[in-house]
Amino acid sequence: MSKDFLKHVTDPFVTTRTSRSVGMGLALLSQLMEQCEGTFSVRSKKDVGTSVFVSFDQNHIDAPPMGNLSESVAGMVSSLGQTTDLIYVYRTENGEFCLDTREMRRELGNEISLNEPGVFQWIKNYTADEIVKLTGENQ
Amino acid sequence: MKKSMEELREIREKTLEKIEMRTGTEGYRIVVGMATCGIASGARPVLTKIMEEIDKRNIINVTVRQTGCLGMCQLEPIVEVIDLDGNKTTYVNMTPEKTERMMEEHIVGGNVVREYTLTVINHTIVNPKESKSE
Repeated sequence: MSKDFLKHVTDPFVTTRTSRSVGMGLALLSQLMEQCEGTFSVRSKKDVGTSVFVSFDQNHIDAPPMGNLSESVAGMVSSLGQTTDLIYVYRTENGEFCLDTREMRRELGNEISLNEPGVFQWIKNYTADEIVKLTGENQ
Repeated sequence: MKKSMEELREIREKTLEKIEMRTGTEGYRIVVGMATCGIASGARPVLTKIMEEIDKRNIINVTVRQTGCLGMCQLEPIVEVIDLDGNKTTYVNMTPEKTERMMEEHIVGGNVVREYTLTVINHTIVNPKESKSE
């Protein structure tokens, strides 16, 4: 993004969409962060790339609910396509687990897309199991 | 990810067999609205149910895609089913329970579940009817 675009990127009326004049993603994300006094930053260099960092204070009374993580991770991976990867790290005081779609692609081979229902089920179960191992709770 | 990699390898084998059996022509395409409006209304459990049913019933010739906002946010979660000839059925106000029925009657059985679909005549949504008591 250009410096000018970056300045207004959390404005919902600032978007690269052509089908509509509104883009809610970063607007909602930064609002949720503000709600629980977290941190947020977007770094971008035109023609190079963009990084988005966000943190939430989980102990804050207005922290948004975590939701169903295993379902969400499975859903995310399923929508990645051939050229995007996800490295998901879940870290607690008891340790961490990592789901890396690059590693998954190596195991599955080129013939099998991450969008296969069998893969979706595996991700959902794996993520749920690992979270229970680390926290003792289902999420 | 050590031992679960074994499970992933098993999934690779099973899926390769499935792929062998695919005829090469497309079966149904299922498109699930997964924008903020969809997710806020409960599209994730609907997507999960669809994936579960395909895996459970071993349905072979079907693809699932996620899409953005379809412009009818009040009717989300929305699932579009497109057949071999390009005919589109739009299911609205979906839930995991309705999804199970849709998968069985439409995807497996080939019969549209009319109760759950959207009907538009002259740019007006005729079904589902707006209902204040909902």
